[in-house]
Amino acid sequence: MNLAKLWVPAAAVIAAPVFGGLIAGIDRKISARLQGRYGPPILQPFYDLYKLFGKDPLAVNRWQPFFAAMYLFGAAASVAWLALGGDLLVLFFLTTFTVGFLVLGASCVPSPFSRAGAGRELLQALVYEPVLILVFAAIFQQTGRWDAAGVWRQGGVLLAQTPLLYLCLFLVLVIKLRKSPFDFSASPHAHQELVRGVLTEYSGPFLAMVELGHWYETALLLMICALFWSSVPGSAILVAATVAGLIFVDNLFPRLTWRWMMARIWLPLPGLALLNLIWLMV
Amino acid sequence: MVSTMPYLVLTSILLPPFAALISAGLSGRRPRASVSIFTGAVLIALAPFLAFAGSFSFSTEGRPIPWNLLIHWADFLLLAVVLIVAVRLKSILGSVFIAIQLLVLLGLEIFWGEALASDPVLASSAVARVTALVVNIVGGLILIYSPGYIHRHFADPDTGKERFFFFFLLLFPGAMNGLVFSNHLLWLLFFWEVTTVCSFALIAVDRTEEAVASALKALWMTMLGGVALVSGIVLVHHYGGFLRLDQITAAPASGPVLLGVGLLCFAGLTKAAQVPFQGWLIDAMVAPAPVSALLHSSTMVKAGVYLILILSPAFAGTFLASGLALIGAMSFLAMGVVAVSQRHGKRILAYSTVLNLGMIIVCAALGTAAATAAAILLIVFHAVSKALLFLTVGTAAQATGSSELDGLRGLFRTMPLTSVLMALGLLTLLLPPFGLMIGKWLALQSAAGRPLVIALLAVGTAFHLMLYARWAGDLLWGRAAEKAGQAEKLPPGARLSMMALAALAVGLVPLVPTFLVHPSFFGFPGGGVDASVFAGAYPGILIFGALLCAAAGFAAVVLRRLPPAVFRTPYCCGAEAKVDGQAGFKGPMNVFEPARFSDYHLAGSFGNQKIVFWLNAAAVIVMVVVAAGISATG
Repeated sequence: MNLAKLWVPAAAVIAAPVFGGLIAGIDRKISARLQGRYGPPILQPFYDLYKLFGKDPLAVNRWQPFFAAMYLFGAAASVAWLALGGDLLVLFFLTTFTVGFLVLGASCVPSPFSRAGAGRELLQALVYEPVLILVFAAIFQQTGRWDAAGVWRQGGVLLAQTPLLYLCLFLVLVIKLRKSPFDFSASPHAHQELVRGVLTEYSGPFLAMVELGHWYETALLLMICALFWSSVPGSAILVAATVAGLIFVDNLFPRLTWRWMMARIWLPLPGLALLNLIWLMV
Repeated sequence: MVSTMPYLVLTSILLPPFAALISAGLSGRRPRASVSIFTGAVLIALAPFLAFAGSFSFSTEGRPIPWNLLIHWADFLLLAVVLIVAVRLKSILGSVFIAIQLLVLLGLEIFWGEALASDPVLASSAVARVTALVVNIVGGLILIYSPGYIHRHFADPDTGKERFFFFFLLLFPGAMNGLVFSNHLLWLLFFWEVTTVCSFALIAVDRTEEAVASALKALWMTMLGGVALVSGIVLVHHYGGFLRLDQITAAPASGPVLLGVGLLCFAGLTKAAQVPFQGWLIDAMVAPAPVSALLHSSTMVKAGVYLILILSPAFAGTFLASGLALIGAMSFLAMGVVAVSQRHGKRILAYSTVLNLGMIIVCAALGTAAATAAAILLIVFHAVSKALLFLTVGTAAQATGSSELDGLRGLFRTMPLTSVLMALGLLTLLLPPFGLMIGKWLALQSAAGRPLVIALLAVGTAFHLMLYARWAGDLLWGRAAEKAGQAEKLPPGARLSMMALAALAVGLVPLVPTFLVHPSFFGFPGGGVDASVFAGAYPGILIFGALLCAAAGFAAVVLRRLPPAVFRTPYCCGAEAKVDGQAGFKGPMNVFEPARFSDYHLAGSFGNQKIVFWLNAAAVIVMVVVAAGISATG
């Protein structure tokens, strides 16, 4: 890790939410067109965020906004860590920090909706966290490097050796970005039986902080995806294709329940990742 | 310093039993409390000297006191007394295992007698010194905590239970110091048995039916470990001519000697409550909180992993190492899975102890420099965080009468300090930049190349998050308007030791590379843990920690200024209602319905009984395969 290059993470911390917000805007536009609507302007998420920051703060207790702030901090720190080219396993623990504080913020309030969302967020973490570790272990297996900078410098198309892992990572992305069929902890749409889950008790500037943190998380996951084709044009193509895939999956799949996820996805997903990892070793 | 070292070590071993005898002779609460607090303070003061004053050794040859003879006879006497107790309590398995040990020891005396002297009997390896640091500081703090707790636990000081309790509680740190500094295997065996007996006595201290049953379960399981220990000693002595740890670890073992080392590791597994022996540690949670904190979480169970870790040079790279890694990883995953379905705070902590010990055993089995560093970090930070958790849970349980998670919900309203310390303890088990995460990071890194181990660790880690995040959130649960009427009252010793443990859990983090990597501190074999292990990411973790402190401080200051008008009642679809200060909503027919919460415990999918049987079976199969494998290759 080169501390003289501190401008890189600083720039990433500024650029990542812009990128995450744009992805959200594009997503809303394309989804609207797919559903035969005109859709909001692409910059709508930024207008929304600006408006939220201007509202009066409301909270249930003092811990709740504190945990929102820690969530935002964790998400921004993860992006900075990856931009710095830091250790991927440490990055994994930074993601547990982020999701941990999101859950803390949602479970410290006496609200049934928020608590239910927190429980589901943890169930989702149970599904995707092992996959993240296995993805990083496979990257190490293939490149011999734990640090993201080394992996990126090594270049090459990791994807060619790790199609199953990338599929698993894609599903992680579907879960993390709260896309159908895995949108049951904080679904933005009214078709789920629990709407907004973990976010129920946030409003105004505190909701804006959580939203901003979510954009950081979006950017972080797409940056991890970019590692699978480490060249500038290659990773751009890969990320664009992945986002397009996300939007289509979101619009194609019907809603499902968390029980379905636990029963059908929980073991097969790490299983597939493990299979790919073992294949890399032989 | 070198010349005073043996006296310091002997003090650390002999002072606790001496204090135990004095406290047993005293009547009245205050004097016994003073003895406990004084002993704790002395042990804490001794700890840095034991850890950092360099290596030492103690030989029996030419001494006026026949130490070897004393230890052998003390061992016989101890086992004979426990045998009588076990027979009177009708514990068949316990009695059989103790009788076997007595017979084997007798055989050793008859056949080898004179040849059993081998010097130095006490010595300090690097791992022993780190373990001693943990034992004495954490153990000392728990001794300072105990009087306040126990005075409320036993209503009547004169029933003898309290005297009994302090006798064994004070005896224990001496046995533990003896164990980590033992070099001679028969000395190790003696101190090992003393810790087993302390554990047995302290689990049974309440004398309820449940307590005695749990104590007997602990007795037979750990005594089975004792049988493995003496058998291992017989094997390594008969085939290798070894009587001391430094002889065994000098070179890689093979053949029957490796089988002997395997038996010693098996003893470690029973003590560390790894599958299939996890049952005794879980049931031991009936004991009072200081016992759980001292014996069953932070120190005694560390004896098991200590033995495996210190033996690791002897079995590195063998079939035995793979088997141990598998058992440790299975314990890690399975205990996480089973703990999720639990609702009882102390039991969850017990499962999480087995889980963390499993990870330490994985590290010991991997045997690389990074893995050793990970094991040491996990031993140190797990002891601190887990002791903090047991003490805070114990304090809360005494005040609220419940250590169920549901009973701890909203604890912040009545016990702000205890609940915040407990939440901090939970987060230090889990999140960066705290010590356990650094240990886990190094462990995962070392496990690269072993996909099965890394997969088990990966899934287990996710369960860990599920366990603690919701618990920590639960503690701070509530609305801003609901404040406690009066300030929380804690005994001064309890407040001091809980705050000190929290300070250690956070404050030790920046010291990790200095006191672990730097060879001059502990002098790990081969010049210490490779500094390059840390160089890559450690500065970044520290910067993250510093930024976290700044961000948390800033957020706290800003949020403190929020006026009361900001705080509202939670959203209930426009049907919120409040009756007698309880939040809820208007139900059908306009009847008030209080808001109720329940978490996903997944009892249907991950119920204890279903899994435990198959888990135990799998662990036994692994052990049999490993034993057969060693015998076949030998």
